[in-house]
Amino acid sequence: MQYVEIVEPEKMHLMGLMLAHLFEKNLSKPGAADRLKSKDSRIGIGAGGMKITLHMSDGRVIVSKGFEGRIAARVEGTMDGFMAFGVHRSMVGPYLQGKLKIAGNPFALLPMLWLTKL
Amino acid sequence: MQSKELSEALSTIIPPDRVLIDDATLTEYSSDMTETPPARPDAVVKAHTRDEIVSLVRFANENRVPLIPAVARTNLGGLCLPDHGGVIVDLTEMRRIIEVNENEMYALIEPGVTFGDISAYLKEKHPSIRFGYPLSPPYTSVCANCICDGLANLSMRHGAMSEWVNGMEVVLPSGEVIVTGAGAVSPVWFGHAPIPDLDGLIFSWQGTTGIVTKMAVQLWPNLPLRKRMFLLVGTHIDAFNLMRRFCRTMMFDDIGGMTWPTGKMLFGIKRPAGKDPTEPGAFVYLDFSGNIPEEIDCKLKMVRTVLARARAEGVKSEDPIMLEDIVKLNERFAKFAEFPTTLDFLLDHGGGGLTWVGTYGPTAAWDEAANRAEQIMAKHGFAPTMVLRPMKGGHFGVFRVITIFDKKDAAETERVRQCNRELGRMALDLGFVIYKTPAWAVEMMLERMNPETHALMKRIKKLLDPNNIMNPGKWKLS
Repeated sequence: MQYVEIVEPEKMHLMGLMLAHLFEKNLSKPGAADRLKSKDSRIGIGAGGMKITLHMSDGRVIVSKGFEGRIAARVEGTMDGFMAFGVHRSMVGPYLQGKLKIAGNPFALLPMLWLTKL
Repeated sequence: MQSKELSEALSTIIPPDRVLIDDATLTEYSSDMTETPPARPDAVVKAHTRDEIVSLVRFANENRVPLIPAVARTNLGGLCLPDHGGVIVDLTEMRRIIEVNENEMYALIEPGVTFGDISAYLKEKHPSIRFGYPLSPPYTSVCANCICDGLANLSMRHGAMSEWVNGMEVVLPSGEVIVTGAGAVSPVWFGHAPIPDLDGLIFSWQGTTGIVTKMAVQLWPNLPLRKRMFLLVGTHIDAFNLMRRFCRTMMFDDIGGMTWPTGKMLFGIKRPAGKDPTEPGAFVYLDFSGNIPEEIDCKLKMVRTVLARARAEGVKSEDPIMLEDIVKLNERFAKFAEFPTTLDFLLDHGGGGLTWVGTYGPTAAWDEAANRAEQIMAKHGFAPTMVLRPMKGGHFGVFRVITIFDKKDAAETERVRQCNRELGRMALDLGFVIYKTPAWAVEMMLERMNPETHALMKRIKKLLDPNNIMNPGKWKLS
């Protein structure tokens, strides 16, 4: 992968692998990686009991297992909730249905809107 | 018979350009993807007609030359490897789709017709009917998968593929040509009844009783709407529980279960290191079709109802994720959207080795089998990659353990052999029967087989093939 690094990929759980693949796909689009150039923040994502930390830094994303370091915001929910989020690019529907829960600074989650686009 | 002499003799039957004795060809036909030790043929011939095969069989009888029928050679049991040398009769170029009867819904095909061929043909010329496809490459032979009792993605409804056969034309080891099924009497090959069922002389005999030159296979209506989805399930035990529940609804075309390593392999992890405790233990794959949107909606509702009932009893599962959404996430999942399909993570992993212990048996024993398989695989250092499917509406099920390995690594290949033997013995202990039975498994099957059954098999073999020319060594019939 060019833009995404998975920490210990052989040990990464399925959700981490799925999202890493999706991030790579979306970051590979022209100009996409530039949008993370000035960022240095961590987001926690939990789905179906699996958790990852997304460390966005210098145009790249590092995906590690569990919630690690100083996390600006966290979004947790069901796998199909995340899929619905990815398809519709809105957290509102899955959030209102109770399929996604958000904690921390919601603005920190803005890159998720395009990083997880299906 | 010396190679040159054999080649010259064969060239009087088959045009010389289709008689192959060069080193590269013989080496290619000497091994398959599995751990089975190589076995070299003396020649390979590419047959084009039934009459050529009749002449070959007569020649083989006169000269006591073994004949090994083969098509794509993708079976995972060394079934096309010549245990005693001889001539491989390659049928790949007998590839005509002779007839598609849209009303009686069958296709009459030659043995080289592949799943890719029949899929393309039906799409173009008969889009209202469909066939079923296995999780094996499009170049796999339909005929071989049927006579070896393989399965496909309609086996949940219709059983093992031998049950999809209406009849066959077969060149017996004597050179006689018989027709089985209704086609023996009627010009319409509509079914295998109502005459004595001679198909049983061919199915699962591993090419020891004749060479099939035509086969009528059943087709089904191609309904306009289809829905495929995955469920991520807490444990493999929960997954099997759900699969048994779903198959009792009688509304699915296909139900499959896969353990956690399969998902990781689809995301490019060639050798998953271990299961993370938070990740799902298995996936359930559901496939159903319908005529109108309301029918699909109703079936979706039924999926959710079954799921809710199972959850109320403690089963842990996520809601269904539609295949079309997963494909957007990772194009590799498109492999589950369009059949026939190649699971390249099983074939292109660098090591070249692929093997399995494939069994049919009681779905009630899935839990125990999977638990024990996990332990056996861990002991030998392999990820527990298992694929399970209910068959024929749930009357029995597939339990299959898959291993990829590096064929160049002798130590790993030996570990695979040991692992497969342990898995095979365990499965037999639990009541499963190994299909497409490899030589190593035949021995342990015969330890348990009713001795008079095997004695009758030997008598039938002797009757049909007194000179033991047809794929000798298989099933230990002589």
